[in-house]
Amino acid sequence: MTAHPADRATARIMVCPALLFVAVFALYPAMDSLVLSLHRLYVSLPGLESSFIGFDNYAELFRDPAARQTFIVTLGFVVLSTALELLLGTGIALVIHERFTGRGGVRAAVLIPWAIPAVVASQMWRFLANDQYGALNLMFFGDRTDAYVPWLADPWTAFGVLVAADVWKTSSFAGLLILAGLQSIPEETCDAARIDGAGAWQRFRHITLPLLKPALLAALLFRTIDAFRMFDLVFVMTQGGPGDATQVIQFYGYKTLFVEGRVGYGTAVSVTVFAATLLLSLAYLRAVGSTLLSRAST
Amino acid sequence: MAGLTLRHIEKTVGRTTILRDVSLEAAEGEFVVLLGPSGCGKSTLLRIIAGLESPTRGSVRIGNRPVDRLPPQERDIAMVFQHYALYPHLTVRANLAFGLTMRKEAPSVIESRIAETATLLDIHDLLDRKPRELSGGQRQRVAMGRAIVRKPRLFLFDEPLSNLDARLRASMRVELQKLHQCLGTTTVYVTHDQVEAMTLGQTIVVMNHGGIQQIGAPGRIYHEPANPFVAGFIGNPPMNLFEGSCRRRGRELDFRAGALTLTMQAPVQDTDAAASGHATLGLRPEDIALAPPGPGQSAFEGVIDVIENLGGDHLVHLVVGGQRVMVRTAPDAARRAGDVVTASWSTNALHLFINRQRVPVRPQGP
Repeated sequence: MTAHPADRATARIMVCPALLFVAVFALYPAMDSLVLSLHRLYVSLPGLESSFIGFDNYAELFRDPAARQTFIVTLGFVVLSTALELLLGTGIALVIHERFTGRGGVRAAVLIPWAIPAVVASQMWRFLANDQYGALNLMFFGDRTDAYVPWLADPWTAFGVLVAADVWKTSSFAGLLILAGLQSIPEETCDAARIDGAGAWQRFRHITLPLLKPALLAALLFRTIDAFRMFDLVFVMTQGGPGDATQVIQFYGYKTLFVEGRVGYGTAVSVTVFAATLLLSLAYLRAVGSTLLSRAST
Repeated sequence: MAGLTLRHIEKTVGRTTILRDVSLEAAEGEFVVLLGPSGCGKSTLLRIIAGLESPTRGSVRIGNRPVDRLPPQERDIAMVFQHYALYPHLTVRANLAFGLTMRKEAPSVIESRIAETATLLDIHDLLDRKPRELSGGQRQRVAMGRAIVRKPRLFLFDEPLSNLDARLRASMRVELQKLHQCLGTTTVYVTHDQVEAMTLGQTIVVMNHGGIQQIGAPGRIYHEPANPFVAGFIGNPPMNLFEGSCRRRGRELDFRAGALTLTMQAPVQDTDAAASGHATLGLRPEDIALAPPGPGQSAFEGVIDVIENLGGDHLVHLVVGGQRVMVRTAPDAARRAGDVVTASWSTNALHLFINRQRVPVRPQGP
């Protein structure tokens, strides 16, 4: 059925405000960033005019050893935090999916870390990891102050604390997505598996896990993209240090752009993050979409 | 030998009683149907037999083995669910193999059992398909196949035909009957459809409000309902029930319900007290004729309200003294709504319940 021309005109007018909003606040900045990334421009040196240099900024980015280091750190952070979050999220979802007294309270409690603002959570973890009065040292070493570890001063432990903070904060979100997946599995299917002789682990392995695939993929998509774009934890807790040990790509872009004033190069970093995130999203959506479609037609 | 024995099963959840003192025995190889309206507890009873729920009190034996402490997987049962509960991510072959694989059967045994079951149910062509590629009837067959393939001691069916259209349901009923004749496995079948119950069951257990109302063969349940609930529940269209009171006068019994009065011969063994009180009189629509009474018959007059054409029969709705009465009769083109007609019946066809218990009725003596 085709719409009446008058209806179509009305529909276009109705869509206009939203379209305008997206164009001004999303499309224009994105396009402008792309254009900026093709220029050489320094904030601190206004005397030098902006000059078009093509893809030189991108070529430099791929040659830059500091950028390469940030890619490795980012990749490590994405893989480790996402894996742990999915693992923990699945555990959380399995627990809060069960019926028990006080389940409502537990469900609310599990979501608290996710509800805390990122900067507050980062500051809290900075305190926890403080080498003198931090709770981490107290928890691991008690009164033995000579054994206290400067968590954020060592490259490996600083990276570990960052991952721990991210996992603590966002596992519950992954858990929530996976819980939605769990709730879509019919109880009859699990009952059938019980009668068929499957024990708890076999039911999880052969029935629950395969049927959870769409939810797990959705959680993986959201968490990977978020982890790839992670900025606030590093900004508050480590400023990328010690050295460049926790410098993730997003923070590197910020540093080159706002601290060093290299607008063109910094924007090229941001556009690269944007492109990588877009590609990841498209790849995941393809996978999740096909799985969801096949589930929906069941 | 008993195939299944339930003793004093009770189930309460919070303050709600789901099942009250349910005892039942099914012989080895018997096809038992649990029949009742929605919410009567029949599915809960089935889940208790399966071990998917625990009773608050009572015991379950399958064969001669108490299974109260055994999980479902150790009860040697198979269950067909209302929504089939096939594993959507597995092929039909893998669905059939799942239970056998979990029980660590040898691959050669699994293959031969699948082949055997596929032949029995004629599902060879479906083996490599996923459940989403099957029609409702095919899914039903696969669900049955998954139950059969393990050769269990007891089959449990939870309203397995309720999602099928009427035609498919009828053909599946016949197939289920054949399957039971072929396998001879003790079966408990839950349904709220009395046609399924009457056609499939060797024994029907009528349930309501968590309790058993009557246990018996289909014919007995139909012809000798134990109480007004069973009388009204079994039969389509349902039995006409007249609520009134009974009073014994010597060897006679007077029944009165509004304008309707009847006199019957009192049961010999009953006392005055047992044969008096609140009474329900039942008369099946097919036992009433729209004709003047013959010898030994009673009659009343009524006004035709509606005539439903059922094809072979007409269902005539009469209004008799403010009460509606249904009569199933041969079609008569001359009959019209608003006509005053005489309805007659034989006293033999009456069902009398005093204080909700069936009382044998005999026609008044000459």
